[in-house]
Amino acid sequence: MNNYLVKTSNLKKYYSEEGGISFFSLGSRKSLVRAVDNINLFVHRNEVLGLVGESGCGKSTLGKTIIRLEEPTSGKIFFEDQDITNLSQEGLKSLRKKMQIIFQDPYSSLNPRKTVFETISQPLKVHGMVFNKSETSDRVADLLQKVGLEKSHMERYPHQFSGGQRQRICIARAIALDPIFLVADEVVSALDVSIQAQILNLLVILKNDLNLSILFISHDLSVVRQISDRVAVMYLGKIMEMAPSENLFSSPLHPYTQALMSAIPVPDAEIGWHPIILQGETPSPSQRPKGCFFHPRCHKVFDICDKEDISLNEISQGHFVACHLYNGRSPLQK
Amino acid sequence: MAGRKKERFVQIKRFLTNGKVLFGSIVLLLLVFTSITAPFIAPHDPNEQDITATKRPPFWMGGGDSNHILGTDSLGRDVFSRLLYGSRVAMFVAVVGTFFAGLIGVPLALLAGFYRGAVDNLISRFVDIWISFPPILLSIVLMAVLGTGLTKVALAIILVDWTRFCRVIRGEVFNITEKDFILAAKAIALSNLRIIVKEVFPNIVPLLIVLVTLEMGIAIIVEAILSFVGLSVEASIPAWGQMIALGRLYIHQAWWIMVFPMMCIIISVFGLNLLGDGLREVLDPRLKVIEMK
Amino acid sequence: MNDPLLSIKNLKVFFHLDIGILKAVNGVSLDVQKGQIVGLVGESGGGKSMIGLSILRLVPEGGKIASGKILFEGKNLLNLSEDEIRIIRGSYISMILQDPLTSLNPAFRIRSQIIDVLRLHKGYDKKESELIAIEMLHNVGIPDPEKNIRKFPHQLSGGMRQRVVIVIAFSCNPKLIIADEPTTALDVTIQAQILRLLKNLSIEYQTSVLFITHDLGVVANLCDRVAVIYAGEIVEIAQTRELFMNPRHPYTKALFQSIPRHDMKQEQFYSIEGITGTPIDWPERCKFYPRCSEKLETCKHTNFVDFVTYSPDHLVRCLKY
Repeated sequence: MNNYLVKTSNLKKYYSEEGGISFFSLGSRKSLVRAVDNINLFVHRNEVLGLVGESGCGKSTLGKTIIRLEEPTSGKIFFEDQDITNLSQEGLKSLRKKMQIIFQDPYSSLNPRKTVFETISQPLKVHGMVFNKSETSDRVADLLQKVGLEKSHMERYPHQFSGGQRQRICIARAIALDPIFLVADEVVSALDVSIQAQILNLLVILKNDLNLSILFISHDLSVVRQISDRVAVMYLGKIMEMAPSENLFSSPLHPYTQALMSAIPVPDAEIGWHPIILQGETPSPSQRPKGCFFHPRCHKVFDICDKEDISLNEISQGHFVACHLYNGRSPLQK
Repeated sequence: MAGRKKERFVQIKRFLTNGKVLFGSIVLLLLVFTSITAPFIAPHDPNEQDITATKRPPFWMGGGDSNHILGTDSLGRDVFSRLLYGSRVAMFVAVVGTFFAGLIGVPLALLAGFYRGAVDNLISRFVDIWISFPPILLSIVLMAVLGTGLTKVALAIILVDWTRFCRVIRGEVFNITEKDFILAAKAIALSNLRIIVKEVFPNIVPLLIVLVTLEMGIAIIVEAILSFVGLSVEASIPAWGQMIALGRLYIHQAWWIMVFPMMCIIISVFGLNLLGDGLREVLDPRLKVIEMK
Repeated sequence: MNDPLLSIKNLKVFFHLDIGILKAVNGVSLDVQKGQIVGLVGESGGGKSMIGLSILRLVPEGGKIASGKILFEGKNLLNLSEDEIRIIRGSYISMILQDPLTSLNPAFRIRSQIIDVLRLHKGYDKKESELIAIEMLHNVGIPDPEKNIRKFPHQLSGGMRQRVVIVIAFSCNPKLIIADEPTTALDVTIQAQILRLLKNLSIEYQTSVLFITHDLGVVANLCDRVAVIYAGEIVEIAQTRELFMNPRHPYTKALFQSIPRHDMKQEQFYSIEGITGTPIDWPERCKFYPRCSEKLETCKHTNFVDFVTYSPDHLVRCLKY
């Protein structure tokens, strides 16, 4: 029996984007943005799955769709083997206790008009987990301590805290309901480097103490490497490669992954920097190239790439790639 | 506890040191004071006519006396007392008009900004159509239809001004609902109604306070205009606009009959506007400056 | 070659707030030689952006350059008149900022923005300017320059916009470019393109660059010299290679340790205790003292820590040396 905590099956999230002047929505050109396109993803229990990609690849949308903060266009989402794709609001409410999310911007994730206490106690009250004032107070204090803050911080307002501290408050709010699945959407991207490490440490500790699984979304491969057990690489709505972390970083198979890794300047003056410079820019998600849509920029492109698209295939144990190079068709074949 | 108390203290200090807030508050307090205490402090009955003492000038001019410190009008009524009683009308329309205009406009704005899409389209189009009638014209038409009287005046103001509340607040609601903490509230399975009331609304309160002070000024002006054209309160109730309308006829002989009520309107509206301006300064931007660093 | 192109001497920029004095830049001295790329690294709030703005006298409202000198080719920029500094801006010293969307005027096409600069500083006429602009756009790798020059900024992607900004910055062959986090908002693959472009242009035109960033990886691979800034003060400055192989200041060391690397798996994430905070009314001693893991007793009481020459061209501001 599989021990998938979360699994998606052909998950799609499309937006229609209006282009041009639309005065009563007449005469506007509508283009389809395939933000999440046929994603087959899974997360095990007690695992951190890193989801990497550049801006516009759809990783944030995927994170929100999996926990149904965005409604999927089609496909299925399974949580603890239960199909939650079409769950009603009622059903969702009890589910919400098990899956939570932390956002990127510590300055907009907290209601500026509420104290820390009010913010963290809210989920507890909504789900009937506390019954009186002192119990609430104790629970909040406990949560604050878990994230490295103090009881006295309860009565303060968000603007009195630094970015890193605010993220801790957001984390406290997220774990208040004892979730088993957490979506961390670029949670350290807005923080200084020295603070990032603090938050990452915290997440690892919480993951172990609370038996959490985390979907760690980030554009920063360096951060992802440090915290993830497995990593998935996204490009224009599709997953290009997915593998255990060490496998991915030691031998990236997909040309996009290779280019991505080579492009990161390493803070070391000894190691030379020879990035694979990709041609051109990332196309707009509403105008994706034909075939494998990485082909216009791919440094290993060959003739079949612009004709046929390809989906994820398991090349070796746990290592999935969506690339014609590994599909038995080599550049030497016709 | 330190956090909350210190917060309040800093806020209060900011309020008290802002010149605009100070001046505006004084004006507002004065208005409130006179509207409540008019019956007790007015030296004369505002409707008491004295044919023997018509068009008396203010006390500092030749022919004036300390009995009527700001003079009398064409029917011998004491200008000062009428001004005091007039503030009641001004305050009534300002408070009632603003309150109910907000009561209509704000919930619609919250709904439009939170649900967006079709709901927003519907409400916004409705507001657009309503706004396309020139406001003063609309008021006049309404008064003609509803008849005159103090409550009708307030009603006219409500019907005209709710759209301003709606538009301005809607914009702010849009800003707020884009923030992540709203999404976080949804992730906790908070119902939409609770999110609107507990998460969104507290964040529009600063803007609302500012808007209220501005609206009050506008209400006073609208009432004055309506009085001026004789479509406001009954003749037996003193109102500033009415005093101006009557005083206009005697502007050359007895300028004070018109000038003093005008000054009252100007000072009131100016004070309220200043208060709004000052509140805006105090309530939002400064917090952001320090955060940036 | 001896006299630096730019020499900042003891620059101090203060903001007088109602809660105290914010010393955004507290006695910074820095030299940039001709043709050199100097990196200025630090975390947010460290004061690095303010230094860049001060050079061009663009300190925001509320701030004042309290003291110090900024010598450009020997002349103190802080003493120049408004007119004189305007001549310097754009033609001798250019600036590239982080967000190209706000650096470019959204209401005007790319063409007019480049041409305006060329005509203003070089006196070319409209036709000449357009030809030069098209050629420059081509040189920075913008495809179809004749077509793209007619577009508005929002019609271009982030990477393209930044290239346009670079074109405008280089258009008048400035001696110095101040680049303030120019690639931070860009994707990593685009960043690689832009950094390579910047380096090539700098070499080709012999333009010095003051590269302000928080990204140590970028600095390691682009800059000749690096200065590390913390709470408005430079704590260490050295040649790039030397700094990365031999960091001396506790902050520099801690910073290097806390950077996650994608090319190796780290056993533990090192972080620096506490938060940077805003230097409002801080005591004059070493600003890193509260968070330093190597502090000495004297650090608490010494009011002014001067630079020590650890090795040739490697200065550290720390009492341990």
